[in-house]
Amino acid sequence: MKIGEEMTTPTRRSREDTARLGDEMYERDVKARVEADHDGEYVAIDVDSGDYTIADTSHAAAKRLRERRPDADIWSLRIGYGVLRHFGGSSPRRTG
Amino acid sequence: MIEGIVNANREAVISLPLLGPAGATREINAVIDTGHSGSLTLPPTLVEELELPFKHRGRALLANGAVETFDVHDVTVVRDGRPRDIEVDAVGPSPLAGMLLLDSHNLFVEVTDGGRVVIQAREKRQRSRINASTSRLLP
Repeated sequence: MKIGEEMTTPTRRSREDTARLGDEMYERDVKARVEADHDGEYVAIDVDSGDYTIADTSHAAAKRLRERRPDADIWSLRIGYGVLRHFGGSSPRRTG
Repeated sequence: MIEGIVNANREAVISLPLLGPAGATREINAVIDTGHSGSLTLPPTLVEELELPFKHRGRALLANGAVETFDVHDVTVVRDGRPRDIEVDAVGPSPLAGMLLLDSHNLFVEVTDGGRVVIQAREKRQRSRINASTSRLLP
């Protein structure tokens, strides 16, 4: 894919594979560095390179990472929550 | 300002003009979900139809406790007369407007069949006054 070209459909990996790699990288390489100082912010992880960015919104985090790595396969989550979004009910805090 | 209506199920429904990347405009009706932490969810089939650019992926915790992975795309929405890029979570059977879409706005809902829904940008003076009164309540 050329720089600046937009993908309309993600085809490289299944959602489950991106999720599995993203979770592994977060737990292994990212979590210990970010959870103390960035609780409640959003992290975007490129599951190919391991590069990541943090921002106040998932939109900003993913955009910043995409500028740096146009071909990134990005897995996003909210720091301290274990998920990116919640639909219905209160914000669930991860216990582990 | 965005205006909408409360339907017979007492759902607050707003109409949003969406601009696709090819310039196509589509007006969609979305139910306001105050438990939704994102901006907008659309059914994956509609995201595909509008050819919205894919951006990233994440996981959602649903109201019933189930978790689901989904793709996030971008769309341009016209709000307060101005186009603005927001994220679209491609998940679920029908459009939902989340609280991030309403950030820094006032929401008024007349909860009765046919009632009014009004979403209005907060004025700067109003924001600072509320911030000041909130800070007095904090220890």
